[in-house]
Amino acid sequence: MTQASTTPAQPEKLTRSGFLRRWLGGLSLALVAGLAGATSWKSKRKTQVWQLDPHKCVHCGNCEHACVLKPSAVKAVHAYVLCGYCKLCGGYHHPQAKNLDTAAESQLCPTGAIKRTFIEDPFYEYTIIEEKCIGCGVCVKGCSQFGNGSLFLQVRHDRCVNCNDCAIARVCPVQAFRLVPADEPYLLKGV
Amino acid sequence: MTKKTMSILTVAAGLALTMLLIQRLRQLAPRPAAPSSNPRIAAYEEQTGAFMQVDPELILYHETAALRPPGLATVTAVATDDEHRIYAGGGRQLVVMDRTGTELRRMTFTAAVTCLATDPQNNLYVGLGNQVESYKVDGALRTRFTGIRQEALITSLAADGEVVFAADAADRKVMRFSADGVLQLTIDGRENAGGPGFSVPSPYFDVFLGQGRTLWVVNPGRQRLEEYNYDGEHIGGWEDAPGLQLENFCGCCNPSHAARLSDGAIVTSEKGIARIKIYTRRGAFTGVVAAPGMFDSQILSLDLAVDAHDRILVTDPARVKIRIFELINYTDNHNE
Repeated sequence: MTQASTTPAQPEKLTRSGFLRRWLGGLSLALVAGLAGATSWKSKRKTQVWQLDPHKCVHCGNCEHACVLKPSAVKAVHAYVLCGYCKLCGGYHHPQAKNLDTAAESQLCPTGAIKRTFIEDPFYEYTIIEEKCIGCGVCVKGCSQFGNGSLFLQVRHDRCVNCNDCAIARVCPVQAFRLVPADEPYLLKGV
Repeated sequence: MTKKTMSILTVAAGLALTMLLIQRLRQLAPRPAAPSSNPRIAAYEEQTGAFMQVDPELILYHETAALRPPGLATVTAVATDDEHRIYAGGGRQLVVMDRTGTELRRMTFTAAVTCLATDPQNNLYVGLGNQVESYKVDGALRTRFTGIRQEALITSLAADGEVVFAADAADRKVMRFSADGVLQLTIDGRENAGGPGFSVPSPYFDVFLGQGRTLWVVNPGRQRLEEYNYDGEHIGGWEDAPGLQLENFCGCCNPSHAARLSDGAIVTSEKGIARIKIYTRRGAFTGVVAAPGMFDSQILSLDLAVDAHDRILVTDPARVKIRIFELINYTDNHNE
């Protein structure tokens, strides 16, 4: 049977070099963990792309100018399944349009990037001409306010250069941009 | 190189790496909100915002009460009866209140309440998506309607005690039922076999009873109100030029709701610009019940009901309230 020592343990005296050794040891561990995390993020990042959640978007117009590409990689897209195919379209017609026609002054889009096609009375189909769309979102605003919200914005990945730090995401007022899997790069409405 | 210099260099390198790591983490963190500076959006908001202003001289009604239906998380349907009971529906719940907002009864359904109506005997009709049920005044089930398609979306009901009309937004048709729920005929709104019929771009398709056994149907895609006899024959109606101006109907699906006052005048509500207005039965703009500024959001479903004293009851989903409006100074300008 061993007799327990009755002598109280003396605290080890902390020398300057000992303190430095401990501090550096801790820092090294933190750095290793940080580097491992950063490497893991970078590897994950390769399989992810930026996308805009249309349910969060408030169509502020920042997508047009904040993107590093000119014109922006963000374009309007159309969920036909949600569209009412109306003669009076809040996304197509200017709020002060005198006639519901295709005249330039009747159109809301500043670049004429929406094509209107007559189907049958009273239905019309609206198609985005991607080459003309500048991603300003004014059609999305009109459609959301007066229509069914079938027009919405998406980052087009045939154009997007997928910056590490998306310039639009940085200024998005509602944090609607997020990284999504590269093999499912779109966040669509009406599906 | 001395041991001391080595230590200092190691510490400096460690600090630099730590700062780099912090910077990366800050980039990943959510950014503060930045206001839009896009002049196109600003111009659009200015143009539509101008139509939110209403000349106070045109406002004929004032709000006299705002009742919060107890226990409802939302309110999307309203009806009233001759005993001044108020029926408020939201989600799968329906609350029956007296005129002060005190709960009299509560009912829970298996589907969301999409519309409500009462008849002169104070029977209650409840639209539940693709079903319609009727209840006695004490809450006992009278009947479940038959002959409704599985894909139907019943958005409005109107009943006179003998027949019940149900608007199906999915099929763009109005069905007429007997009071005990048997389908009698369907109105498709086509003036001829190849005609376009009702245009219903979104789930807003309202009906209400006119004077002298007529039915009014809102044709929202055409900004039109159409009057039919009970056999489904088109006998009249009017349409308004689409536009944001106060006297017009804005957007593609307006008016979203409508009801009739005792003198035959028609009260309408719109979404996009949330406003409630009065027209004569021939379509002449009379005045405003509630201006857009009275609502917290402009994209609201403002269901309407009119009680025996011509008070106008409005659902306000944003505030979860039934808001009640009464005429400020009655003038006989509703009659033509």
